[in-house]
Amino acid sequence: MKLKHKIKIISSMAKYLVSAGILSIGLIAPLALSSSANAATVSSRSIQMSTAAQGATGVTYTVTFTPSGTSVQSLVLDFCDSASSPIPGATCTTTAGVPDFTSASVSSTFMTSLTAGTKGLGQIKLAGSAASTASTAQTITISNVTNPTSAAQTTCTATNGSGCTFYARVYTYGNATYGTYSSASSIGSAVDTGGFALATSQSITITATVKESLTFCASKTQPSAGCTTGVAAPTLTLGHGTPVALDSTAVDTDTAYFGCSTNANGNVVVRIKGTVPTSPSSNTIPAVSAGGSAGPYSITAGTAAFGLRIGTVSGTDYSASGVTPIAKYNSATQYSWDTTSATNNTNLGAGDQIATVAPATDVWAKINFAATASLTTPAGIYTASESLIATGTF
Amino acid sequence: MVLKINNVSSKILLASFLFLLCTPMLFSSLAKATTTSCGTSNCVTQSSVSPGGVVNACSTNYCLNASLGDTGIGNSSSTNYRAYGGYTTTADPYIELVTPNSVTSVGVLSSSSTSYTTAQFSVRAYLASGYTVINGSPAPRAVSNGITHYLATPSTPTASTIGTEQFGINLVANTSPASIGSNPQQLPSSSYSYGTAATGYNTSNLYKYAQGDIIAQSASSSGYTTYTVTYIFNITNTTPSGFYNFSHTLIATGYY
Repeated sequence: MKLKHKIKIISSMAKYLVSAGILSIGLIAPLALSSSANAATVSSRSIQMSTAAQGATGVTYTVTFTPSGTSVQSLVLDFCDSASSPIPGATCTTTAGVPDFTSASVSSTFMTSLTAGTKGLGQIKLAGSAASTASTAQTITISNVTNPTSAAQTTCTATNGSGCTFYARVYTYGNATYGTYSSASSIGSAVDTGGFALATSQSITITATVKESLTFCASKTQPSAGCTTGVAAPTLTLGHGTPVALDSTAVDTDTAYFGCSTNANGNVVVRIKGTVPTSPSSNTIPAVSAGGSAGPYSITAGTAAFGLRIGTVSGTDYSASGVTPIAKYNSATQYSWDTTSATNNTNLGAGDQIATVAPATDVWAKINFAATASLTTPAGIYTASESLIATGTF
Repeated sequence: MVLKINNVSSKILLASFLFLLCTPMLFSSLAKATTTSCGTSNCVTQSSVSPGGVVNACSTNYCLNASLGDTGIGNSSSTNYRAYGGYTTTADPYIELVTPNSVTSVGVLSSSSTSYTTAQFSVRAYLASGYTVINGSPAPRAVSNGITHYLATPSTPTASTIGTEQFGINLVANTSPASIGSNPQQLPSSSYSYGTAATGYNTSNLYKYAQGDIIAQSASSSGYTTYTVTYIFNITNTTPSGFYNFSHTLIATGYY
């Protein structure tokens, strides 16, 4: 009985000792561990890439962190592949699957004249001409970096983009020569350290098509936007009196319109090509000023001539926006019918350009045709057939 | 007497365990080294405090992390520290952005209807103060007649309007122009994952797009959050023709 009681007492004492031991470990452990932390940790740290696309070039890495405030004059940024870790001093593979800083440049106000030293695959070293003691947030911008490729990131899954993480570490040093740093796993006496995780990603690609669009019409009346309404057959009659006829006493006119809607960002060229008024016996009313190309020219009653013009008043003679008449047709009173240019109204090429249309939904212009006869113009019914041609450049 | 001693002993044991758990919080300045420091000769690794568990039990090709009978899950934090409880966790800061390797065509755009599509991406970040996801790409563009045209993008959240040139996105469920999109999904649940759509991209039926905008974020470490991005396209009759290409590059940045 006494023996059993002694055993219980010993058992109780043992529990006291175990408890005391655990308490001691709890108290002492943090003290013991603190001695292993030989560098402070930079806080509020991040590295933002201007693009996370795999293999992208010309990428900007913006490194932000808050140092401890202890004087430093250089720092090392090591980047480790996805199989490594962000823990300073741990094994770090920098030979593949990491960004390339070979052509990188740097800007920052962290230290005076902070410039890049050694730079290459997975590493860039930076040093200033004077020490910094700042303990506020600092930003270092590293430009012209090449992101790791998917193929180089061995854990990166091409099908769903997972596992494309890689890591970075920053170490700061009190002198301009990176302290006793020798490698990513032998960082020497760093003042501050910190780890980062980054990730590249595949891009989500979406495509869409916008079709080329050109709506064009000729009309006796002003057409609506897109030529959907207000379009009438452009049949014109030049003359006066009863029956309607040309003579040498007047210049007779009539009008037609063209309408246009387009998304051609290279504009639409509107040309006209056709004939001067011609009788069944092949007599003609000649082009104004002998078909000269330097118009506009005046048509005088009694001097046989034929021509056209687009007026000069925006909103009245043509739509308030989107149309620009060509100069030789842009007149309030004078006309042109070019038969001499390389591409003219009558014979050669695709016709002579009378206006330019910019991308718009409701462009129109009023075309004024005019003719007069001379005293010697042979009698007859004169007809002319003109084609309006719109060509979009997309 | 014996019974009394046993009771006291149990209480001390319990107190001792609680003290061990709380010590890093109490000695906040000393605990810094335990969270991130790993020098050339010393590392602090994670532990399993549970009825059973194993950390990094590895064969040649496989590793196993397991725990048994977790009594607490989730995380708690003070000003300077955050503690994670639950299934075996990693000791490394980590961020992962998962995007589909997809090419989607919305076909021929029209000034009389809205074209739309969706895509998903997922983000998780660990041992972080949070993360942001940023639009890294300019708007859809086409080269026509040697001129590069970018589709117009609303600078503020705007409803989809047919016949107006618009390209916009949001990250929530919508009913207009159709029942498309989805609110962020927390995986496995909202107890572990906290990502949200950012302001400007979190209102149903309103769309915007700006390169450099934060579109998704979490204010703390988070498990997987899967985001569904809804893309809308509207054009006018004068939108330049061409083959519009949009490579949506997402930039996930972890803050530590």
